[in-house]
Amino acid sequence: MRLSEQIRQAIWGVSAWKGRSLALVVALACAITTIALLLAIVVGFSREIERTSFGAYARALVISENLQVFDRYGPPRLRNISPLRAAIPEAESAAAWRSTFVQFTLVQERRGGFLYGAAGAARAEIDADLAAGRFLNESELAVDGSATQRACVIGATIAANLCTDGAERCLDERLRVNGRDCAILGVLEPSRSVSGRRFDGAVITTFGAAARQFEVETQIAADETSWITLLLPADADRQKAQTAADLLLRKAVGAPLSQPPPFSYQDPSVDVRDLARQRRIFGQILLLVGITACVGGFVAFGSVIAAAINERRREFSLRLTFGATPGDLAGQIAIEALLVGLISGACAILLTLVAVVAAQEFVSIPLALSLDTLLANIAFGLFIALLGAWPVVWRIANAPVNQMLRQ
Amino acid sequence: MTFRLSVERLVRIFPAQGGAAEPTRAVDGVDFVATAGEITALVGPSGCGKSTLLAMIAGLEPCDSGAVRAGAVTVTALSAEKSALWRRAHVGFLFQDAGLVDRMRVIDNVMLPMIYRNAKPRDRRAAAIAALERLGLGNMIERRVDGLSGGERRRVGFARILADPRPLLICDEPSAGLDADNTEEIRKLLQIARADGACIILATHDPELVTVADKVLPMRRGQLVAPDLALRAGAQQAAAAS
Ligand SMILES: Nc1ncnc2c1ncn2[C@@H]1O[C@H](COP(=O)(O)OP(=O)(O)OP(=O)(O)O)[C@@H](O)[C@H]1O
Ligand SMILES: [Mg+2]
Repeated sequence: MRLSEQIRQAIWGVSAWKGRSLALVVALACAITTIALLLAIVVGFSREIERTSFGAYARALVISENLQVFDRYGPPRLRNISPLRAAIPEAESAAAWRSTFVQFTLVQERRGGFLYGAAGAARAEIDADLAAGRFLNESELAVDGSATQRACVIGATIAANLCTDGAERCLDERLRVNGRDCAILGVLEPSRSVSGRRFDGAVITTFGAAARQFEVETQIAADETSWITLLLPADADRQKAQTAADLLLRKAVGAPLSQPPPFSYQDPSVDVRDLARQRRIFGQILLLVGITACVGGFVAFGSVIAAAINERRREFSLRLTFGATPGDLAGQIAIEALLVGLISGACAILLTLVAVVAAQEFVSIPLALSLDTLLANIAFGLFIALLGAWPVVWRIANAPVNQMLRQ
Repeated sequence: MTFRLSVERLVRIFPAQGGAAEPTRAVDGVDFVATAGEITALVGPSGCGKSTLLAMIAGLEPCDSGAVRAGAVTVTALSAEKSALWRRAHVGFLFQDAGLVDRMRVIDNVMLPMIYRNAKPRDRRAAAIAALERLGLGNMIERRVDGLSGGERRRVGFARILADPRPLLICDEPSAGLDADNTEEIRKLLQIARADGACIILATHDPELVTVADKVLPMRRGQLVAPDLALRAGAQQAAAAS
C-alpha cells in the first residue's frame, strides 16, 4: 500500500472522530506544554546562575582584617602580596583594594558613594566591559601602591546620572571626590556578575590616590588594604590555599598559632554554590513533574487509542477482508497517532508562547525560550504519541487475522 | 487461465470453550471444486460452519488440515502478509450487513478495496461513480453511509463489487433481512458477476436465492451431505446448457 494512501486513510481516521481527536490533542498539548515550560524554566534558571556565577570573584580567596577579634595586627598590607603569591603559586593573579565612603560632586549634585582604590588585577573582579575611555593601566595599578594619580573610572550607575547623552560625554565631565578633582579616564558597563555589581555605583581610582588624596578621615595606614583578592583556578584546592595564606601571614605579623587567625578568609563562591544546589533540587523536582506529565500524557493517549481501536474493530476487520495486511493497519494507526502528535505539538508551541509571554508579563520567573525548545514540542508530541500508540500498533501488527475478525 | 477453486478435505476445529465438553468441528473434511462463471451455494442450518468455510477460502481463518487452492496458489499455506496480498488481488466480498465503514462517504466505501490494490485515484473514482450510477445511487455519492437506509446500504455494498470485479466473489448471506425486491436485485447482481466470469461462493438460508446457484452444497455440522444432490444440480445445469 502506498504511503500517500496510508496518510490519506489516517487523515480520514483523525477527522472522522473529531471529538475524540480534539480531546487527544488537548490532553497531549497540555502535557507537552508542561514539559516545554519546565524545560524553559530549568534553562532560564541555569542561565541566571551562570550569569551570577560568571565573575572571577567566585573562585577567589579574599583576605581581609579579622574583625571578630581585637588584635594589634590590623588589615593585610600591600607588601604581603608578593610573599602570598610565592606561597600560593597556583593563584592566577592578585589585587588589593581600599574602599571608603566619600562625597561625590556630579555636575551640580552632591551625593555619597564608595570610592575604591585598586592595585593589581582589579579588572577581573569588576567583571565589566568599558563603555568609553580606558581602564587604569598597569603603572596606575602598581601593586606597591605607588601610583597616586587622581584618575577615576566610573561605574555604570553613576555614569547614567552624570552624562545622560552617552558614555563618551562623561569623559569631558567634571567629577569631584571629597572636594578634589578626579579626571575621568573611563566609564564602565554594568557588571556581569553579582559580586561585581558593587562597582556599578562606585568610582574606582588608583590605590595611592585613594589612600593619600581622597580619604579625609583615614583610619588605616597608606599601605593597608581593605582586602586582598587572590584569583584561584576553578579546580584549585581552596582549603590548601587558605592554610598556606594563614601560615604565611601569621609568620609575617608574628601571630602564633595559639591565637585566633588575624585575618579572615572569605569564600565568595558560597552564594553561587548555594544557588547551584538550589538549581539541582529545583531541577529534580521539575524533572519529576515533567516525568509525571509525560507518563500522564502517554497513559491517557494510549488508553484513548486502545479504546478507539475497539470501537473501530469492525472497520479494521473490513479492511482486512479487502486485503489490508496487519502491517497496513498498524501503519495506519501509527500514522494517525503521529498526526495527532504533530497537531498537538503545534498547539503546544502556541500554548507555550502564550504562557511564556504571560509569565514574563506577570511574574518574574526566568524563562529561556529558544527555537530548540519550541521545536522540542513537536518532538515531544510525536514521541508521546508514538509511545502511547505503540502497544496497540504492536498488538494489531502481530494479532492473527482471524482474531481481528471476531466481533 | 480461468479461475479454479478447489477445497480439499478442509478441517477447522475450535477448541472446547466455556464448559463445552467437546471441541467444535466447525468445518470437518469439506471437499469441492468451483470454477469461473459458476455460482456454488452452501446451504444449511445456522452454526453448520458456512461462515467459517468462507473465511478459510478467503484465507482469513487458518485451517487445521486440508487445503484451499486457487489456481496455482495454495491459499491455506500463505503467510498473513501473502494471504492479504492474494486476497486484495483476487477476492471480492458481499456481506450480510453490507460491510460498510460508518463515518465514511458512500464513494470512499466503494473505493475502499481499490486503495489496497494501488489503483490510480482518478481511475478508482471513475469506476466507483460508474458503479453507483448503474445502481441508481448517483445522487448520494458524497453522503456518509450512516444516514442511508438498509436497502441503500446494501446497494452500496453491491456497487463495491461492480466497481472492481474480482475472480472470486464470496457472499455470506447477502439476502438476509431483505425484502423480495432487494433479493431480486441480488440475484441480478450475482448473475451479472457470473456472466463476467467470476467464481462465486454463496452461503445462504434463502431458498429464493438458492435457485440462482449452479451447484448446491448442503452442509450439516461442518460436513457436506448428500453430494449426490450437488451432482444432480450440476447435471441439471449441464442439461440446461445443452
Ligand atoms: N472463533 C470461534 N471459536 C469457537 N467456535 C467458533 C468460532 N467461530 C465459529 N465457531 C463455531 O463454529 C460453528 C460454525 O460457525 P459458523 O459461523 O461457521 O456457522 P454458520 O453456518 O455460518 O452459521 P449462521 O448460518 O448462523 O451464520 C458454530 O458452532 C460456532 O459456534
Ligand atoms: Mg454465518
